[in-house]
Amino acid sequence: MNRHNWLFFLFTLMLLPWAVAAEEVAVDTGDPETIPNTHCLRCHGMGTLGYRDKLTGNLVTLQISEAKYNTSNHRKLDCVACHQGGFGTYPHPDKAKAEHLYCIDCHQQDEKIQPYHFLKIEDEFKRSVHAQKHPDEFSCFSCHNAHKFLSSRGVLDDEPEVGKHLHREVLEAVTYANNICMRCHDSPVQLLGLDPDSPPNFLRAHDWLPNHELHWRKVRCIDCHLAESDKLLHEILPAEKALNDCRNCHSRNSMLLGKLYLYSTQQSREKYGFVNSVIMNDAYVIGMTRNTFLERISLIMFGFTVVALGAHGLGRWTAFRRRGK
Amino acid sequence: MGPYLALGQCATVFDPHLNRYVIHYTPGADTALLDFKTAILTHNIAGTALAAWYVFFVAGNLLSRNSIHYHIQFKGLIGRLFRQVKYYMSGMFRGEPHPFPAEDENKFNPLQQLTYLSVMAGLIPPLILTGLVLLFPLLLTEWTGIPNAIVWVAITHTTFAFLSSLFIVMHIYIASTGHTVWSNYRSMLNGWHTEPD
Repeated sequence: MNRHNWLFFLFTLMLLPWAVAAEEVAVDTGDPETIPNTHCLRCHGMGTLGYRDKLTGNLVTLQISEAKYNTSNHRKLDCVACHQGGFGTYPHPDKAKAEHLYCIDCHQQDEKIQPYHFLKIEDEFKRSVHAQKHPDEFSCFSCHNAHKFLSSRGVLDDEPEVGKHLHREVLEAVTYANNICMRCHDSPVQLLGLDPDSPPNFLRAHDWLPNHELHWRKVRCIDCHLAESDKLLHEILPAEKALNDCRNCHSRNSMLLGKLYLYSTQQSREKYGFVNSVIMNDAYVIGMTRNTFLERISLIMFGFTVVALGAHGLGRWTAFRRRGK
Repeated sequence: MGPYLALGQCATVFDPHLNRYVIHYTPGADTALLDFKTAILTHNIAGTALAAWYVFFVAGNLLSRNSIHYHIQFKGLIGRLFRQVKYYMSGMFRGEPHPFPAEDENKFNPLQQLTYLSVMAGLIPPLILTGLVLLFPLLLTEWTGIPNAIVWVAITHTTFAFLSSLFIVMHIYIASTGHTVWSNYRSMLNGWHTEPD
């Protein structure tokens, strides 16, 4: 054991009495049904609260960002609304920590959130490549962090003023969504853990795509890795079935209008009142974003020119024949 | 050499225009001249070749006497333009001789001279510059800090591309007004202007 390890060992020994005391004296934090969020955030608000995952070796944070939680879709919920059973004491009992939360438990009954189609989303998720290939490893929480989840649509329709405030800008939504995918797909450790024989190679799989970086900054992975008609965005397709026809996006009827730009387009259409409103929304997509005024002027000028030149040519030919006679 | 240069020039001029329509209008697979991916690739290659061609054109004119054909004599220009337009509008139909026949020191008529100079100095440079910017779309936003700057570059590129399309259509037609319908096209290919005997 070298000098540093000895020092660490001694330091650990010094802390042992406090650790034992903490283990022995479980703190009763009160009636679990009435614990306010501030109480939980006294510990879970700390940036340093976390542990090292034994499987991956990664640090897993247990911090909950109060700011992000308060602007998430779940901000009105108390922590104990989901984390029930035993969280009234500290340290939390292992039984409580082994909780198995399931979004549908809350979301299937609530009439307020019917528009979000959670049951259909669950069906889609079950058909997704993730659930099909790794049914035990994947759940809602593999991708979604309930503590900062904010739907692209913003918040519920009964809070339009808050919804306007919380609505994600397109580029922000892209970064948010792609970070979810990249947490695993950009991590060899995560991928090897799931698929040790043939982990998907993210860069090689996208060799064919021009302007990689531009696409990754401007569109979501799911915009191509979902069926064109999938508006609920949860049936992630296997790589070989992902959309790879450029015209899916780069055309007047771009599917992006029904996916990535679905809500922003609705907003800007209401604001600007014309079909090409995407142009006012920091978005330019070749083949999709067109200025109809310029197109019409171009066609009129082009048509006029062709007709005028044709008439001139006909006149020349007629005059030539007349002179010949 | 001449025919190869001319054909190369044709390829760099026409290809971007054809592909532009494919890229801009993105027709369905059954109506497309080219599929979208191929159109993007060939448009990028041909556009870059056009940029290189333009450098060659500018260098060639700076280093040779060819630039004399672009020196506009402003004195009496309006009158000369009027005579040329009048020839196209009426004189040509009556079989009148060309008011400004091509000469060694002045191969363009006044209207040609003004149009070519406007195109080569005012239309092609912004078309090429905006095209080059569109090849690296992320750089513009990083340099300017304006999120939607690329929109205006794209609109400018499309507008100038459309104007150059108009020029090409008129250019091709006017080329048929030599002493025979095909004589000017032959001149474009072999570099020699012929006059009627």
